[in-house]
Amino acid sequence: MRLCKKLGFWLSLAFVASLLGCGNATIQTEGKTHKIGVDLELTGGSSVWGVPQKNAIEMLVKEINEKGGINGIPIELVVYDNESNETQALIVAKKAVEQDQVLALIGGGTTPTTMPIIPYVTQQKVPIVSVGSGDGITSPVNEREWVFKTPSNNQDIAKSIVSFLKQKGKTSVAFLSMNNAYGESGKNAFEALAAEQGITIIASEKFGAGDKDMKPQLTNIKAKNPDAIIVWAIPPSASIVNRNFWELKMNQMLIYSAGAGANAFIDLAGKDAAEGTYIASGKVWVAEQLESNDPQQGLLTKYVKDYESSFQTGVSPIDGMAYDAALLVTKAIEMSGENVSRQSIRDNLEKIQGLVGATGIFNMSPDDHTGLKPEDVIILQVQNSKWAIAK
Amino acid sequence: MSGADLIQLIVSGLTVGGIYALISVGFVTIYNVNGVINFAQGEFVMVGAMSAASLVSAGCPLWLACIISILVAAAIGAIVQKIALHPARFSSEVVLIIITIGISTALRGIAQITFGSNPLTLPAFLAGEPVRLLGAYVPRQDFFIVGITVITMVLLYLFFEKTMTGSALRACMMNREVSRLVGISPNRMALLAFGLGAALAGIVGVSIAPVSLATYDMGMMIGLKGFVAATIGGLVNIPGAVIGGLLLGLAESLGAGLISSGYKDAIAFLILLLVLVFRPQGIVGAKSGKRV
Amino acid sequence: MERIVQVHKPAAIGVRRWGLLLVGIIVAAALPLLLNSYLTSVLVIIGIYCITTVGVSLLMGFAGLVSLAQAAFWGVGAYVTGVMAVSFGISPWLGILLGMLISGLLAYGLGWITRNLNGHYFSLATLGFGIVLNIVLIEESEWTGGSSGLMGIPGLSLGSIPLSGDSAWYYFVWAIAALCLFFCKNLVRSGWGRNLRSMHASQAASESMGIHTGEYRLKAFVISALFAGLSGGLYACYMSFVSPAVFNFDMSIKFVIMAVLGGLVSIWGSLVGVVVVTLLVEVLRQYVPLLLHNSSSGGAIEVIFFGVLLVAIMVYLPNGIMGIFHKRTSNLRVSAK
Repeated sequence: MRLCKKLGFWLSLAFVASLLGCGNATIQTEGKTHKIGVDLELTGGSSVWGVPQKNAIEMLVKEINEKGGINGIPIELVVYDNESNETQALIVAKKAVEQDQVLALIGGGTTPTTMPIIPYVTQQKVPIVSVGSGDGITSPVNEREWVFKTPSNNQDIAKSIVSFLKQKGKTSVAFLSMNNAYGESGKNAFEALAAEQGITIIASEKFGAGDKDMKPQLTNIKAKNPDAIIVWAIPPSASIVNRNFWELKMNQMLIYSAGAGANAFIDLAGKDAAEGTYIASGKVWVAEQLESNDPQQGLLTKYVKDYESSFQTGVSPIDGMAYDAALLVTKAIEMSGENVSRQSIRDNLEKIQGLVGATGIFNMSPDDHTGLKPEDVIILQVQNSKWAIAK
Repeated sequence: MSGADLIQLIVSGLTVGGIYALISVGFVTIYNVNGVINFAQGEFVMVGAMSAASLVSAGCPLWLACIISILVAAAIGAIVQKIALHPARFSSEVVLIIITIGISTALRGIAQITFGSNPLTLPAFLAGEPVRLLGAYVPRQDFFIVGITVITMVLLYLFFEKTMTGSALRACMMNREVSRLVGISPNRMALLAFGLGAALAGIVGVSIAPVSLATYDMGMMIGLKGFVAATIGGLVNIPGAVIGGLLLGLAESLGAGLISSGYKDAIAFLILLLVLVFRPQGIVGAKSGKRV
Repeated sequence: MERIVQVHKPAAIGVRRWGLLLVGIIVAAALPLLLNSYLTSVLVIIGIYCITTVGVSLLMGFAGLVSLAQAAFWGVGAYVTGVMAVSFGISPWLGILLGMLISGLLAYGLGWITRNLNGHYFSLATLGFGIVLNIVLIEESEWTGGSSGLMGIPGLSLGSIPLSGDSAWYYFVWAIAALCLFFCKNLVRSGWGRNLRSMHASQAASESMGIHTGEYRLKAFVISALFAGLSGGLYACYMSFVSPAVFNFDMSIKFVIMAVLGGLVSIWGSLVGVVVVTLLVEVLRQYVPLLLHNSSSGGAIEVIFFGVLLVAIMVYLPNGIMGIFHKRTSNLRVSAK
């Protein structure tokens, strides 16, 4: 019994101690820094995005700090892993805001991990720039005073796909989406737009995130003979779909949404399979092919070069979106001049105009917390195993 | 839906079924010898797939990479059995299950660090366009998958029936206590079974990586499906596991194609529920009074 | 000859125990005032998880059944509460009760059709059920919002005072959690509970004594589902947003792990298990980046650490943490098969 009591005592002590320990500030840095919290999916189902996103953010911050920081003050990133889990995303956001006293948050990387944070940041008055693509993150704007996001709205992506379809005279399409938040929101956006614009969806299929073979769904689609197939998915399933598509010797137009754009999309699908595939995405993959008067050309070329040399892997539009989130926050800090506060960052985020990012050119306003236009999304095509601007 | 499309569905279903069959054979082997439901089986598949992919991208020739990866998977299986399962061999089933869950978690984390979070791929064993068969298109890799499954089954059969070690293992699967009486070391057999199960998983990983790609978190779902296949087959013998796998693959493919693709995974698990409720000994198993 | 018999003084021991309990309660009540909102919210989540885990502990430790569907029942509670509130404007209080009811009914149905299954087979059936339910939550997106989740679930209010802020939630959730813990403790100690435990120890023996094991199993299963439903409803109101991704097989496993780690020998094991696991995650989150000075692999290192720790604890402490205190020559250690 004595042993039990002793153990019990020490265990309770450990409990209280660890609680208090967790509540203390993290690494002490000398001098003043601007703290930015990062709440991303570094493990779990969405880590295929979360890790490159974190890399991109760290790359930008390192570059800024090497130049002396913003107005002489360095930026300190506080990075946490939300495990692709929304409960953790909220806890981590709270930790960053209250314990680390961050000025602003970047995250979550997906819509379900961003949504629970929204009521909290609104109540605590902390600006957040999300890398999730759901349109519901920044609308209705009057309830999203403190929330911003960088990925193009699914609506804009759908718009660019639809106008490309009409341009090519394709009117009957099949829609294949992933059975998760991303695929679903894309499906809703596309269906709404297609109805308006006279595109008929003759087949609609879904597949799970962990599925390894989408031939049944594609066989169904093939039987209905659409003009084009739109796929809304993330890697690696997106590449598997392309591969299965090729294996079934289908020859419709195959168009992906931006989320499919893995760094290695072409390799994963197989060079033969990927040839001719389209994707609606930002311009990051065709940086060298942009006209010299394209405002994004300079930034994108530099981004691609820096990222590839730092991380030994290709870029993708998705890490570009995280890079833009960091760009926005650091720009807002810069615009705040001497008096940097959460309120000033929020106010300045709304005032950002003409900021060239990897995903597009950001023009924020009190009515628009995404700041991008449909024109920022273009259609690319794999030609000779490389991405090129589709004609 | 034309006849050719139906055949396409059946052919895809059988290929996927072959994959499930191999995984479930590994499961059943481990379950019957070690007495544990190995939640880490899917991770061994992942280890095989990821190792092969990394080796190949580092320049290793394909055939060598495959062999090394299968050995790596088997080795990891053996190590895991020795340090984690062997010391706990007297614990209850639940504890053993949780240990395998811990192992699967740890393996996933190690894989994420070693291989990164990006998906990796393996070149197809036979390059070229899909082959037309009875109106359906069959990718060349699928022939490999089916071929490898068949060869593995044959080798396993020879191993279990014709070799001394194999017979010892089979005896252990049937009754551990009694095999001890005739001098078969249950500890050695447990180690062997685990290594064998892991090697089988490694073979699966290497075969499917060209078509299904390899990610560090591919293990969970694949493991579960193999699990379901094993249960359908009755959890007690290898032919049952194979049949279970093939049936599952077919049901999934036909269900997704003919009924609803959103509910495709639900079909697999509904079948599991139905089998458990109406025929818990599995499609192949004999009626055992497994109530008390 | 006089034999001097030592008489235990039960009153003294009683006072000491009650004293400790009182100190414990005072500390627990003071915690939100000492800690910031982040830590308080961790404690709220611990409380919510605890309610489900108590049910798991009852089912596993005393009825001997491993259910891999608890996260699904948790989800049913959460979604029923959420959908009722968002689509039909029904008060969350009622929604939570409804959620519990539907959870219980589903458990009754599942328990009934699997009444002849034992051990692994029962667990596999719950596995299948849990996954199917999760898929239903994703597919029926008209009601549930699908994978994108259900937004805008209202919080709870006591009368006209809304329950807002982590401190208020802390007291509320822990009051309920305490009630659940005490309810289960009493249940286990009662005649009903004794029958349940004897059933776990040996089904044949209990049946020969006239105990309808099937009924007990079913009741235990339903009770565990009721707890999970309650917990789910609270979770929905606290987070104001739910998505199917949380109510999956992974989470079911987490509940089982928390119950086993804490120790199935005692109902308090569920509390201990939840606290240890959740705090471990936070402690790792805090200290691993400090040790590594490099955040690239931080997340994965925590995952490895957690997995290895889990294995280590299960190998060396198979009776969980409470097992250190309760030297039960329990039915958890079985001889080699």
